[in-house]
Amino acid sequence: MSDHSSSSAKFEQFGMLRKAIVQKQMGVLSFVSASGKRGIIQIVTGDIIDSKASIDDLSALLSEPVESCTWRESTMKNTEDYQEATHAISQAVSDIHWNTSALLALKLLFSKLPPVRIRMVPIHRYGYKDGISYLLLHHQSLRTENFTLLDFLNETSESKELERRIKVLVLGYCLGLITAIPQQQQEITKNKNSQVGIASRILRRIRGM
Amino acid sequence: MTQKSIAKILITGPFNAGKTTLIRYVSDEQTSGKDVQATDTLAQYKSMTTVGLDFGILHVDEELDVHLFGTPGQARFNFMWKILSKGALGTIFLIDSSSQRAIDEAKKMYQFYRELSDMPIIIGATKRDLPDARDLDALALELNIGDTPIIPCDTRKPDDSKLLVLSLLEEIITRATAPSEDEDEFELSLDL
Repeated sequence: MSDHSSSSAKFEQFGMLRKAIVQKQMGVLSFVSASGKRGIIQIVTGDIIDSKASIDDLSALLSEPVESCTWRESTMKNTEDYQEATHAISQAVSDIHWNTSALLALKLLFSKLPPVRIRMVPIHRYGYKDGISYLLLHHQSLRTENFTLLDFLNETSESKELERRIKVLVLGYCLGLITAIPQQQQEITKNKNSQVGIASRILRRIRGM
Repeated sequence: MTQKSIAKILITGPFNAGKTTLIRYVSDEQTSGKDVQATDTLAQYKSMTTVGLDFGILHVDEELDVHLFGTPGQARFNFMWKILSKGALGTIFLIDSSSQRAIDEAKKMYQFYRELSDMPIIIGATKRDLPDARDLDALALELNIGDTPIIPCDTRKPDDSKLLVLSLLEEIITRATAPSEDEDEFELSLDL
């Protein structure tokens, strides 16, 4: 059993949630948001307890910085209904509205990530309606070598569009669909005759067409 | 003079999905299979069709060429699908999403390719502008493709054709280099 907590206003909850989901952990994420709202999210092997309160807490967790956020591993009997994290987070993110300062803070946050890869998944199958924004993100990542999320966010200055884009980033990040380019790939790419090396060379060629 | 390496990418899918057009836009050289008048019941859907195969070459650099093979879409040529898929990096599977006939055919073809090997496959759903085009979810369900990516595209647009190939290449790289669930560490915990 392990505890991990933080205690200053930040968006650390995104990383904690991602880790719990991607690594299919079991435990409870407790938080106090910057506005003082308290909540808990119960996670069982990467999925989220299926209740309205849980989705409401998830929305609160994702909608503003947190004062504190704690992950406590625990074993729970799987006697309740759990919703796949993909659907629960899609539902929670759909309902969020950020004000301008929050949007800019999130833009800054995501802009600092190193080059990323975007996994092509049909997020509308998770119940998330704005599949177009995710497709746009995916397409742009394919077209751009060393693609960063700043590239994606800098394409718009209009706040509604910025919010749509940040929503898919929050969704993609928390579900592990946005990943860092693995260090090992840099090494494998150097081997021109490996499958990855060959695919990378073709990728660069087609980007340049 | 060193001999060039050859990589192979397969473009497949039922009849009349846009395979020839896709190869045209991502090749430096193209040799199209002979276009002949469609016969049998296919003639009502398309006047000319490819017999044999489409073939395109993309020169990547001084040491590497990509050969793009477009398989004939008619089921009677299925003996060629196995031959052509041997050694391929991956497959782009195109489907006319407005045609029930094509979707029925695609189900069998997709199953065939999945049983053939576990090579990366992505699916391009074409003819999205036609009134009978299936919703992507319905199409995925009907084809029973699980998590295989399905991408809406119009191969008549060069950018869409390139994006499909880029998507396949990214899928190949991701498969080969993805960290395990336990290794995933991508911190986003910056103070504001």
